[in-house]
Amino acid sequence: MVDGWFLLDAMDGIHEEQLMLTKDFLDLSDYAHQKRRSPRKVWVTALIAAILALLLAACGYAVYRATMAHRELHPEDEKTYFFDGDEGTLNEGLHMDLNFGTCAMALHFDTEETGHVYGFRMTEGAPVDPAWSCGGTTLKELFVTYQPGGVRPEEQQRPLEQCLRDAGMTEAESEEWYYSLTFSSDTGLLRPAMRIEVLDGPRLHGIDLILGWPEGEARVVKEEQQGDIQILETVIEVQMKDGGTEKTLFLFRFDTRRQVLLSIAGAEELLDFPTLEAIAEHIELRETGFVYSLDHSGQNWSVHALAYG
Amino acid sequence: MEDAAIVDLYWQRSDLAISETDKKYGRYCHTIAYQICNDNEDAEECVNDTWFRAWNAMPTDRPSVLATFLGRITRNLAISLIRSKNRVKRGGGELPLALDELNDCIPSNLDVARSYEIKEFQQAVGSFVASLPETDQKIFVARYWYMTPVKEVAKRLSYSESKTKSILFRLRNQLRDRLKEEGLW
Repeated sequence: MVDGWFLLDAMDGIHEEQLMLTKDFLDLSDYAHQKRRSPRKVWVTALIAAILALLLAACGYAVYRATMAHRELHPEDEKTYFFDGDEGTLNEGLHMDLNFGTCAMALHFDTEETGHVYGFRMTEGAPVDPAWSCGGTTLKELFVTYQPGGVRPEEQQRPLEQCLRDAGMTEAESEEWYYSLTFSSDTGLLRPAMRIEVLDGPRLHGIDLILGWPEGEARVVKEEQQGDIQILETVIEVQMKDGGTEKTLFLFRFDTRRQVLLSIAGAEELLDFPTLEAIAEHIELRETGFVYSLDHSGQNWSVHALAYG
Repeated sequence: MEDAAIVDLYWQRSDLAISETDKKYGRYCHTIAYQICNDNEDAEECVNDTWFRAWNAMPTDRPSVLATFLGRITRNLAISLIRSKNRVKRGGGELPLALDELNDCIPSNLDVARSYEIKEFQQAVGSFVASLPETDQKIFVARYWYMTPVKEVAKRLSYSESKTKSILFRLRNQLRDRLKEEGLW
């Protein structure tokens, strides 16, 4: 029968050179025995962990009570629109059951209908921890930034890492980005550990944007105004189909002067807000050479929802 | 003591053979067994059985690399032990995780009526691993031969855990494709 055991046995065909190479790599000659802990040690460790957890929980609750904010925002229009991050389009009629009680930030894009699209680049290269990347939309933005004129990898049917190299990255940089995609055991797909989106005036002209979430629990961790920048940090807990939950961190930075919204989202298990903030600090937003135009005439889009899930 | 000298002790049927082997490779073999069994007593049992097997094998064998010769025996003993006791899910070691991961390499449209020769697969896996870049070799072998936790592999390479998982995922896909190319699936 062919199964995991069969392949485990097949690993016995690995040559001695590779076994010795890996033995040295794992430092196995000096590898310590994994000794059993004594029951007393285990008990003491558990007790310390429990006390620490209790203290942290108490502090956390106090901080939560003191700083968390909840908003009650009510749509003035019955229509809601779902922003599809992958397609970069607004779709009508989806997420009609959006829970507006948990929406946290309302933005108004008061810009011209036609204008230059914003892109971004990292000012100091990628962060040291490579467990982050961008979604498809973001990669396009990256290409735009690296190579004005545009590269469309999905149309050219070329490997992603090749497109990144063509767009100006070194081989090491492109591999770093490529490998920073995280494997999701739930979906069996590679997905970015972090997603960066840039939404700008030309694309969202005249729209009141409400940042919210379609389901699950959410809490606002931080709301702040730094000069022209409006900052919002939220944690969203979404119920998964398998019954489990997944927490996602969102950092929004809205530049009120330039009318550009930067959104960075990532899995809580991999990232934290200080990391997201550090990344945001290194992101430079700038106008690209692309001009975008969206005709809103004849439509009453007074309320739109940017629904992440 | 040099490996050749230890092997000579076996050939001379000297009692020192086992104590010298234990001194030099006891920890190495124990680690291999422990990663699979996730139990100290079972790991010790596997190591003792390894010395017994080595004693029976030499002579007539004269292994060129004693470490891997012993390591292979230990690994096979540990896998057989867990398999015979049907204790895969118990203990939470690396074995059940590695088994799940290796299922990725098996195509969904597998011909269940066909018989598969393990030796052909062993050869294919050997040449596949040898063809990989050095870092990928280390990651793959550490995970699927030594059963090292992903976290530990990532730490040694100063990679994040997610990056290491991604690399392993791609390597498993490459292996599946290679086995297909060679007509083994």
